[in-house]
Amino acid sequence: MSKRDTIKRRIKTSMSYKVFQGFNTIFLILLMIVTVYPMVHVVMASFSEGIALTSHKGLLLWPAGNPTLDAFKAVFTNPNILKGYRNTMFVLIVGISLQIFMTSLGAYVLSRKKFALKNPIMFFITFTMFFQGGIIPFYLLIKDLNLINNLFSLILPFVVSAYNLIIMRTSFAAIPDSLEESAKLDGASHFAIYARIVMPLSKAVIAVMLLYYGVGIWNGWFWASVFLRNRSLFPLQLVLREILISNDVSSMTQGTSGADVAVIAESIKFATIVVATVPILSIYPFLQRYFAKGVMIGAIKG
Amino acid sequence: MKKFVALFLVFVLAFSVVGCGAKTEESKTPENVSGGVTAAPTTNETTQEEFTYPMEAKEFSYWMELVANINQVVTNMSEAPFSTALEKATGAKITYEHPVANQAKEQFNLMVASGELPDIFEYNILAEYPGGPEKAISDGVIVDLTDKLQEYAPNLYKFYQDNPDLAKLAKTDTGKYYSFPFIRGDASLMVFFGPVVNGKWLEDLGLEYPETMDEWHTMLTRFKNEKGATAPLTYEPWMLSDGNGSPFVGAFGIAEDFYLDEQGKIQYGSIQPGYKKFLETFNTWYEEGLLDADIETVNREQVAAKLTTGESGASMGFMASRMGTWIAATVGNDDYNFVGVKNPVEIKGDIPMFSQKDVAINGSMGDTFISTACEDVEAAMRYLDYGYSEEGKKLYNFGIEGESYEMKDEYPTYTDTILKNPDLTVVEAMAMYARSNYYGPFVQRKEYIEQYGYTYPQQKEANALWSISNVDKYRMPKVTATPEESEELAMIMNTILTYRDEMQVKYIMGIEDLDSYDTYVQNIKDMGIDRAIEIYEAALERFKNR
Amino acid sequence: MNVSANKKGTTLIQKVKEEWKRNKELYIMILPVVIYFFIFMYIPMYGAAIAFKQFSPAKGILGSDWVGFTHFFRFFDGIYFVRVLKNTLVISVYSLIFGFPAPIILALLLNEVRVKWFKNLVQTVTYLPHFISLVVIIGLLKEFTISTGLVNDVFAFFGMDRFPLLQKPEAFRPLYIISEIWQTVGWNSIIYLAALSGIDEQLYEAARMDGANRWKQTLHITLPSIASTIIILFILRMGSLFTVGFEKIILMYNPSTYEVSDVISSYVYRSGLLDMNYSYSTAVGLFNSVMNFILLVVANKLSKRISKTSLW
Repeated sequence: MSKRDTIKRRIKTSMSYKVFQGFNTIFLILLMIVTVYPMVHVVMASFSEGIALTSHKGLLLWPAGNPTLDAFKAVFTNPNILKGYRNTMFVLIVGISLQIFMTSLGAYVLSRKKFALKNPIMFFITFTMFFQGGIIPFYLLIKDLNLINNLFSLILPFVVSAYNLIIMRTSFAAIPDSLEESAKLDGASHFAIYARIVMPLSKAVIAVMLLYYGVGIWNGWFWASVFLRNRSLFPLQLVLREILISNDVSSMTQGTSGADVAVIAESIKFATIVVATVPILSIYPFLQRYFAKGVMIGAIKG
Repeated sequence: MKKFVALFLVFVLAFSVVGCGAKTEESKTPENVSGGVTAAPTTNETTQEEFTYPMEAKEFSYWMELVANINQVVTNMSEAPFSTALEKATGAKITYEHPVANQAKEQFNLMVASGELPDIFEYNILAEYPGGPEKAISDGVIVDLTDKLQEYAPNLYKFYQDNPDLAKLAKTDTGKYYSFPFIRGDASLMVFFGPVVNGKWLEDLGLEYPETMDEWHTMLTRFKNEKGATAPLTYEPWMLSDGNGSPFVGAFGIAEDFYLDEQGKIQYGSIQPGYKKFLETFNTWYEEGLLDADIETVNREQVAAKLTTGESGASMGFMASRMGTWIAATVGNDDYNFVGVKNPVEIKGDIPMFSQKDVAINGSMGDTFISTACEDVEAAMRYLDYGYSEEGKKLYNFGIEGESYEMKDEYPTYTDTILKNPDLTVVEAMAMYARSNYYGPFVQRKEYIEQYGYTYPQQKEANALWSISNVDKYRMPKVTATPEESEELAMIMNTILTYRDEMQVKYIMGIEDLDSYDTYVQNIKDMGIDRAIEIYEAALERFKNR
Repeated sequence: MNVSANKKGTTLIQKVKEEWKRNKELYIMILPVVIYFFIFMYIPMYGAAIAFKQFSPAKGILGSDWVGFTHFFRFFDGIYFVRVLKNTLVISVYSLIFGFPAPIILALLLNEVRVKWFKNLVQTVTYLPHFISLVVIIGLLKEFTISTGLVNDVFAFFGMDRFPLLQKPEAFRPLYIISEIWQTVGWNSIIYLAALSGIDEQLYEAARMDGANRWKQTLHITLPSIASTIIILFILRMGSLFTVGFEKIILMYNPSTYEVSDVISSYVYRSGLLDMNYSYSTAVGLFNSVMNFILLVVANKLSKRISKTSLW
């Protein structure tokens, strides 16, 4: 009797589960349609004729006017863009290595349960998320460190983000203590536990950190606009922003020169977005496999 | 022997005068010196009139925004042929520093706070520095040029002597000269915004260019009924509320913000009876469907789309960045022909009291300063004064003779290097060779706009029609409040503007009935408009006494 | 007494010594992080003093004159203070209620997808909007919501009246929240997906043995496994309740919706004082920070008591 019951229930479960799966799939497809549109719009606009784009209304599912590469030609002959790529790549590679190293180091220590100063240091760090000195003393500090007009001004002041540190620490804390204990019994030092056990087990959160920090660096423009006065050091995003908000005159006083300042074609703006966005978008698929279920468990067994 | 002494003196001078970069070029050849400085200056200061360019080699750091006209072509101003030519002509070696365009404010403030200033910089001190130029001088940020102007900037000085009215615009309340301003050398250069309509529709309907608000009403109604326009009049919402520039508010004899009445007294427009009339009119237009139903949310792209697809037939905007775009988008399409029309008035035949018109020296874009960090203020003044000399004006406006322009019958004519450059757009080519299509420390000449500014004949016509106006009489001059006053003013006006803008929308859309107008006026008074007027009156008094 | 104090001292020193001996490596490891925060975060902190001063660039931070709470009072005394404070909190709370769970739900739904390529595709596509500049996103939003736009076409199809959504005060908050979820749900779900990847498959198997259905498995295995991540992110979110950034607001609002859309940051931004008056903006920022920090500390305390998960 009990056996038959179980089987019966199984069938029932799988039936309702199948219905759920069906709805789930439909919902996710709808979600994709809704969220993919802005990207489609941007891409289509970038292949549009600048003038035809001006008169376009409604959904843009195909380039306005005849599809053209003109906007991309304009973007790639722009000297700022290539230099921007170079600068952003430099900051990205150097910055992200330092950030992952420093953040994981801090997260490891602060996730140890038997570390006496754990809570005070956490407080010390969290406090900075809310109270800062403001832009002036920060600028003066960077100046005193001789980093003005230097790409390292976009790296060194940002090697740890308190927010990311907290996320990483939460993830490290979820690793079973038993692993640490047994390693200790084998005489492993904290350095060894950090490097050989915790880090290899945390691929998923490291992937998240790579994304968070990477995207942060890629999209950052504010500090670059403050610290850099040499245009050949400008990161890509600053160049993009300059193009995006040019002619977005919204008051007469700014518009005084509006009489004759160059109008950057809409299509060029969109082409610049594409050129400045696609590289960072393409990282994700590579990191995705670390989000697959069981990555961590597999690592423990292996 | 005499020659030898002169040469000797030149050498002494060359090595004794230390530039702002503090680097005197030791490798200077004698030819350069004797060829350049023809009338050898002596240590006697009274012989200054004999100065000619180029001067001794000097180095300056120069901080300026690189505008969109050129920043997609070069990464540093020094790469432009214009800079090379300017360097050759003046003898000053410039190291340019550029903040990102449209984002210069933060960087400038921090440079000031850290005391690390460039020798020369272009910035809008008048509007962006709390307390204005007077405060910037007393804070030790910029150099007071007053005493040295006659001696070291004779061309600019002469300009001020010849135009005492304009000189007033370039001084502080206490009479200090503080900058090398951008000067618009002709009235046609100061007008670039106004109402625009689809002239083809007017033609089809047998209508004249509208002049009065009633004619506008008729025109818009017929656009709606006979041309199927769903939003006959549309515009970017901020344009309606922008001070002296707003054509429709101006039709009722007021500016939306502060202006001078017939007696020369300061008034606040948004509480006048004329403003109520404006609100009534626009409310009617809105109810009748003549005004875009989405009027509060449309942006530049949508306005352009509506106009160029026949949803709308009238708007307002800038001559190039708006009107030029609309015309370009409809070239070859017979249904559209965007033309500028006069700013509307109430009674036919009246001359508009308000319209957009810049002043010759507006002290914002291209105002150029010498900072206190500069070690050789005199030489920097010499360098900057070049833009006001005859030769300098040509270079700043037209570029290099024989390359970017040629003199034809005394008329500087742009060559194909500018107008038909295979690699650059006209805007870019122009910005590579000159600074006339944006701004800088020089006098802008009208030959520039005559040849280049009007890409389409409609624009030239628009410029002429928009220029018909008495705004010079009624416009509020650019006065400066003291630092404390300007903070108080900002607080008062933020509250008032928030309220005014909210109520304006409610009245136009009919959410609020105009019966409550008196309460509205009283509320604005309670928010301290009289105090704001008082502050402005005092500032105006100081302005008059300059 | 002297002896006992001495004894106490010795034990403390001994304790410190022991801790050092046991965790020496940990101290060495944390040192660079602490130094970083000290140099780049704590050293500049003296700058917050300008909230109580009349900052003048020429005099510098230390040399400027003290003005006490003038800037704070100026802010509190404004006619619109209560309104902007209320709007800030309402928008913030709505976005907490609706925006916070959204990525968790998405992550859970994705967790149920068995087809790997489909799962990857959904993830990749949903996170795309995060990368598109706000200017462009709001531009699209405006285009969709005007009276002739796509959304109104849908309304008209169902026989409803067309109206410009962004000119309706009632519609502002929903549009703000929905567009925010739309733009960030995919991106924000990443952290939960990462947390989900750590769950041991054996737990599910054991549950299936016990006859738990999929729903029960989610409730008893999946959710508890990512609970600490959810709680920590929730605590951090509480710490920004008084903050609604001005960028999106000023792109979206207009005078017809001020009554519900004007928040602290946009109001201060409009005053034009942010750009030139560092003292005023620092004062407003400090007010926000203090309120946020109090909320964070309270949330952290509560969480510690209820769930044993906390920041410190």
